[in-house]
Amino acid sequence: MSSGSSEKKFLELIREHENILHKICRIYTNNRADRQDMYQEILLQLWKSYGSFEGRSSFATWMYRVALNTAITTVKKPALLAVDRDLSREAAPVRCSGAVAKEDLDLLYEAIAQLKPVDKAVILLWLEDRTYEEIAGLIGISVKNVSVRLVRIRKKLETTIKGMV
Amino acid sequence: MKNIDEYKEVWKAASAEDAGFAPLSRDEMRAYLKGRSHSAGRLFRNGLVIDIALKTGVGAALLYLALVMNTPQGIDLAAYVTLGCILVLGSLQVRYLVTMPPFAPDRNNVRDMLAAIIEYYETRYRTVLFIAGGTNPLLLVTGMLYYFFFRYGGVRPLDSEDLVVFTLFLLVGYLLGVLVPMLQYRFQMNQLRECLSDLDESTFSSQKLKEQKMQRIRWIAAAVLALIAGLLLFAYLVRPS
Repeated sequence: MSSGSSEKKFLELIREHENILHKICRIYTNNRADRQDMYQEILLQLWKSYGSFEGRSSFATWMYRVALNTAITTVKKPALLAVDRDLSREAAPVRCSGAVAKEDLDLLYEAIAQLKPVDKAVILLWLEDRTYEEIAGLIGISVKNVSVRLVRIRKKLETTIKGMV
Repeated sequence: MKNIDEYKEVWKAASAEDAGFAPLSRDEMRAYLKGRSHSAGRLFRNGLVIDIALKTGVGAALLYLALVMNTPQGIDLAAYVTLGCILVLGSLQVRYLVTMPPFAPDRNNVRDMLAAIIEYYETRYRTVLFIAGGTNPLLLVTGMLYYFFFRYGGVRPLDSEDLVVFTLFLLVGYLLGVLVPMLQYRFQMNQLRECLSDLDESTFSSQKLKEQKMQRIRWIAAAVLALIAGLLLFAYLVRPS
């Protein structure tokens, strides 16, 4: 496959799954500028690794792997300023797709923002309907640990959201 | 208030726009693919490449001094010795560069990726930083050789006082060359360590964290000593005669 057609195919696949990337970028960053940097970094890593994607797993699973590894290990700037939640809200358009309640979604994002990086990955995969086995494989923990963590994370999210409402 | 399962439904129905993103055009995505990476692996690599380039520049300046300028034998010899040091340290760094693992995000899970980066930093990259720290003293020696050549036409005989002063300068230069990048990496490495310890308490036990804290204290003490030595040296140099 030529480099041009490979890039075209890659961008088509990214376009199909860009929801995942945007959600990952949103939960691992606090403002629009960092979000764009992270999106670019993930896209770069995906493109660099695309040549070795053999199709053993689905593109989405492979993408989760690369994107989460990148999001967790990428250089982060020291947080000199407080978390800029207003900016993240401002970045979201006023219009919301279909029946999605923007306020509920914002609450969920804000609650997730308070989790540790690994817990963010676990809950994101759970929200994306990944199986416990898949989550365990992507994170590198046991299935039992996934189950225990999820109970703890869900409880923490509920408490945080309750405190925000 | 909704329960988490209801929030999950909201999450699944959300689009990229709901996550706060305007859809990117194909051209914008292509532009992103040509950008610069800020991954940990890329940072390690860049640090090495920049230092090797700096050493090459110093080496070229020494070769110019020894071969092109009409320098006396004392300076020639000192230049060749310094050049030898650069070649040894530089070749070690090239070896580290060539053997650096790719830190492939598509081959590892989160835990393996974190462990690979931290292990590389702890076991190999720290050594690289100690080697790279040598660039500062080598740069100082090269500068001094140029100064001696243009000022005195050769290496001026050094008395014991000169030797103490120069040695202290070289020492302070070396310590700064090692400590500054170490401090730069510290923030990120600590973040990664926290993630790994969250994943695996048994691997990164509190004992290990305590050891790291002690190591940090030792480095701070070394930096403070170097600073005091530098200040004493400065006071000595500017003392009224």
